[in-house]
Amino acid sequence: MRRAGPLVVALLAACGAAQDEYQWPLGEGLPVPLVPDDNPMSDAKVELGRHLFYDQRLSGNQTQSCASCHLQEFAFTDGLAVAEGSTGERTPRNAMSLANVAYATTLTWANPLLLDLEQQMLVPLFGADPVELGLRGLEDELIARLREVPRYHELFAAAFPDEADPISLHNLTRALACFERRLLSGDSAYDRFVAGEDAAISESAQRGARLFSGEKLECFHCHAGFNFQDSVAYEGKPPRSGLFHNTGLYNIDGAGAYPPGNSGLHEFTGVAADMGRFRVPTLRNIAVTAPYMHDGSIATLDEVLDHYAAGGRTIVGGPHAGVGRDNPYKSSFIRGFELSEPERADVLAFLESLTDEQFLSDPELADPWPATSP
Amino acid sequence: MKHVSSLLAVSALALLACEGDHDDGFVDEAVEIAFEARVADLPFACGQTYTGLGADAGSGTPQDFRFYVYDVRLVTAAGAEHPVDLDDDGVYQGGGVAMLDFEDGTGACNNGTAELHTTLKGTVRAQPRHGSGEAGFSEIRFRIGMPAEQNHADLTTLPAPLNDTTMSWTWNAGHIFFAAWGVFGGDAPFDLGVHVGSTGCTGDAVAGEVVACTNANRPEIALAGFDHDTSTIVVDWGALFTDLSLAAPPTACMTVEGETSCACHSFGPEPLCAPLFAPLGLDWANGDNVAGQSLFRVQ
Repeated sequence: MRRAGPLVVALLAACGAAQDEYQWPLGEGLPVPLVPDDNPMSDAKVELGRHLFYDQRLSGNQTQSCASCHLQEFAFTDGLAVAEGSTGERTPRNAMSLANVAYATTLTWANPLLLDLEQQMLVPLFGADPVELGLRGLEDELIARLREVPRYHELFAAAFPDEADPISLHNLTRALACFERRLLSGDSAYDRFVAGEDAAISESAQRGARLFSGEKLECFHCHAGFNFQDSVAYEGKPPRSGLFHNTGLYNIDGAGAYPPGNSGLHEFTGVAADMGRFRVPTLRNIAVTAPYMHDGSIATLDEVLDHYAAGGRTIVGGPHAGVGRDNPYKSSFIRGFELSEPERADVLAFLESLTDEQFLSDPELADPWPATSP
Repeated sequence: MKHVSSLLAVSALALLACEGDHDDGFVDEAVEIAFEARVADLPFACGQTYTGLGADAGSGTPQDFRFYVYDVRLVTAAGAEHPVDLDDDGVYQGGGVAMLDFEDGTGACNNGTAELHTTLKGTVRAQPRHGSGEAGFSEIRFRIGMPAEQNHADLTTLPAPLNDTTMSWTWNAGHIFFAAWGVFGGDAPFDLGVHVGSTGCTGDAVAGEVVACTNANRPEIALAGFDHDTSTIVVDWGALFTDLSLAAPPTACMTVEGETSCACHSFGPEPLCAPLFAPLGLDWANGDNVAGQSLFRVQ
């Protein structure tokens, strides 16, 4: 069994080692995330994870941390089309927002195999193609670096109190995952509106919300539910297989092709119909996470609406030329629509109402290290 | 030993196996199985440039040459397989799997390490069938890679050598079983090589789910005429590239977004995979073993 909420709590309680109930800061509208059986949440692990997340010791050449590509002010993405690793190599895809990553059933843009943060983070830490944090082969040196920091001795001991020698790669991944699951965003103006505060968002944004949830735009089918994302799990909703969709962003050969090396789920399955299928990102804080799409190829939300209004993007000229609208593998919900200028302004106002200012500036999620490193 | 019924004999043998003491020489025996890396008839060495490689007598120098080995068996002339239990040394052998490492970190292998591991150490489980003549060992069989259970487990919980991040295949939730790379092309150098690992996998191993892969890509190597006391297993880095032209990047190299890649990462539509899998006795199309491996021979 991968994850369980009530059962695990019950089992732990039955063993007389009742887990101190972790106090999730869920606000009004967020459900309780699921966590792996072997990595229950604790404040001490979250605090250790926060220190690790912002620590440049976690890259081979000590120039980058997780936070280098996941900046709080951008809802933990980086504002770039594609990310740049510690040695200057670029990733093929856009750094995803970590807001509410605790609910995602699969991780990264199209990988159906990365289901747990504990496992996923090994890719940026140790991956070589491309190099991100660049720690491949340096795991022992990484642990040695951490051991030199007195603060880590305290933090690891507090996070893993039953272990004699807790500074380990295993515990590092556990603590980082706990911090990432703590990155909860559920206090946008729109959330307050839903909770009953009628004046929390403008009337334009309210009209935009209705358009968003209507059958003309069809947005809500994939950007569904509390996280505006169809593939989510939480207590009471166990994970199912990940969902991936082709939105007609490319159609290079007229037969559906996406740019090589960025063909989405197809890269993993080899199944023709999986060409160009990517995971739906959350729309929470979407106004601060430009540029958009898996490859950062759309600069603004306004242009994103153009893409969907056209029922798929047309690229004229260049190596990626093609009519995305005619991509044979496109989701049936991407049919195109006509949007008046006032309606367009309404939808944009709605999307902007999903920004959670508290989340973007919460000191509990910020860099804990003093400005002049420890 | 008293004559006992066959059922009892099995139990008795299991007990005896722990003591390593059988009658008539039927003992569990410590074995060392030596490997030697070569390029055709020359010793393999990082920093060395070899000629006469590939289909067009190209030249090249090694970048990497490492692989995992497990499921080692010595086989009697009568065909009985005797498993070799690999020792745990905390570095290169553990969890029933060994990493063979032929690169010493010099020359173009500069991403590697100085340490080498070229000899498997273990204990062959002897049973009464083993002795001389038909019962003597005359063949060795082993697999490249590791069992699925270890392949997909959380790297941070695995023993050495399975926790080596340089052989991890994190985004595919597994390990690289076999890595061989080189720099070819003389004055216009290009990298070319192969990573072999299981592909087409589904399931979440971290959660204890069964991970199933459509293409296992685990070569089974069987070498006749092997005497573990006197034989050495030669593994030929150069043989991997036999079917490729190497003077210039072969046509099978892929150019993506302006960058040319001459590699088989066991993934996606990489035209170099079929010719780089064949010398390992692997069918690229389905990951099954086929006859004709040309990398390993007994010396």
